[in-house]
Amino acid sequence: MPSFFPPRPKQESIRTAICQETSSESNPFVAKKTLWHGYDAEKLIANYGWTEMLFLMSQGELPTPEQNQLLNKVMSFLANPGPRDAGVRAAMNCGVGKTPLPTILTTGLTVRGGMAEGAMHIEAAMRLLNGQFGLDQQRTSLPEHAAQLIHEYRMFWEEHKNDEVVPWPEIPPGFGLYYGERDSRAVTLINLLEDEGGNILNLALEIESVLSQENNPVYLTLSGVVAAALCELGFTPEHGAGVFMIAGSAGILAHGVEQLPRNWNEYPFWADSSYYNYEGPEPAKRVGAEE
Amino acid sequence: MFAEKRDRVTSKSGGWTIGGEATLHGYNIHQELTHQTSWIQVLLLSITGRLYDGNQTRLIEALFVATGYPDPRLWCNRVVALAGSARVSAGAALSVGVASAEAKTYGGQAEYYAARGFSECCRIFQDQGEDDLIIHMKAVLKKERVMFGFGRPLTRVEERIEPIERMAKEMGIEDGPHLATVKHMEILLKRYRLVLNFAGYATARLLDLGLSAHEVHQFLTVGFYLGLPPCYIEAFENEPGTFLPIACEDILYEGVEERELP
Repeated sequence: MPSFFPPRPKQESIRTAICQETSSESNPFVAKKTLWHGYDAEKLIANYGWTEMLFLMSQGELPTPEQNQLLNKVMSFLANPGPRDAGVRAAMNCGVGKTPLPTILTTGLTVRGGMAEGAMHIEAAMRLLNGQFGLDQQRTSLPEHAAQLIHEYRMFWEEHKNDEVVPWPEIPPGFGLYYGERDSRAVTLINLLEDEGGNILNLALEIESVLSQENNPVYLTLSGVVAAALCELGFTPEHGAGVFMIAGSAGILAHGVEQLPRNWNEYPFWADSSYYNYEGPEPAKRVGAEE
Repeated sequence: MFAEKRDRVTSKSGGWTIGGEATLHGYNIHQELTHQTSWIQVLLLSITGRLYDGNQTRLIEALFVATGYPDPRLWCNRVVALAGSARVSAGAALSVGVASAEAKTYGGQAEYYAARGFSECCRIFQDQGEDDLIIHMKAVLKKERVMFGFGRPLTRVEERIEPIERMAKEMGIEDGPHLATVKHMEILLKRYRLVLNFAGYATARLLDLGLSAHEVHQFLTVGFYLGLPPCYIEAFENEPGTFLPIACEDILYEGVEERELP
């Protein structure tokens, strides 16, 4: 038998600062003790809830009670994107087709990851609010800071709009319209947060006051408010994007699984030909007759 | 805009009339494509809207064969091997293998960056000549610290290009302007010990067929696909959890020391 993988001295290891497992005496693969960021996992589980674990895993420290309350509020608000949401609809499509259960959830989450209102947008909005699209400059006032962030994003967009496989949005991320009008979900969440949103939400509102007075006015969207809250909580944009996805997983799972026992004809195909508009060339091309 | 789109599906690429015809970019799938074209030809058609001749697409198809390594140490292959070892279903496992290959480090995103960079280099080389190309490449290297499409982890040998080059020669397919440019760039980059990598080579060939950077990216999404099924199947058939099991002490912990809860 050819030996493609000869035994060799161990030189490579997976590294992590999050989890430390000590093996049992009898089996090197079984952990007798687990630490998460230095805390005994069993003690954590006995004393804290899930959002506190989420915060700890991402940030390395436990949240304060106020931070945990804010995180819970934001995640609860996002718990069910609803059956009209693209991610939820993708999961429902899988459900009615009897796709393996785990794929129902992961399909919904994948679609929730996009740049339009999805996790990539949250990440971009958090970068904007963190000032990561420009040089770190001294700002003297909130209005000046807001104007500077808008300017920096627009400069960045001009230079880099096509640099990535999914393009950056032209309107500063976290701002825009929702079905053509001001995003009422954003207003509702702001009201629910009361004064918990902190300085970064104030900064977002200041940006909104500038953008809403331009020729094509736009406003804070739900993504923008969520991004502000997640920045305030200290999440990095990468972690924030993931928190946004996880938060919506409750609705994705429930709506997807709800469709499982249904028949295929209980979910619309839009079979009537009047629903379908073909706008392409006449299907008269011949193989071998290309120009 | 939303009210107009309500209850209406539109498509410029094609569709299916229930019980009737199926079309793709102006071709009848059953009357024209099914018996006269290859899978790879129709994949290119579905992405670009153009039907390329069989000779060109045979060479492009060979690119996929040349890089289908069934070695589970490669990142996307390892993902499907882990999925197999965890007894994940085939569709889910293979799709995460494809998705995981959309990486910035030697994956799908790097091919997009390479396509954009090569287009610019080719334009400069064709319009302004070698001196300006060198100035541009130095500026890119200074700013980005990398030249996408060049360089390879672990080795400076690229074994996948030579068989394709030989095939192209035998088939009488000449280098287009993009491939000619990157071959010239490779000579200029010798002092940096950067070799043209396979993704860069494939990208240049696809650009020469007229694909845009986005089309190159979309097409090469399944570029590593052939390596995935063997890694998945073998791990799936083995005892669960036995693919590269890791003992507790194999993980190098570099976090804070044990501490009491606050």
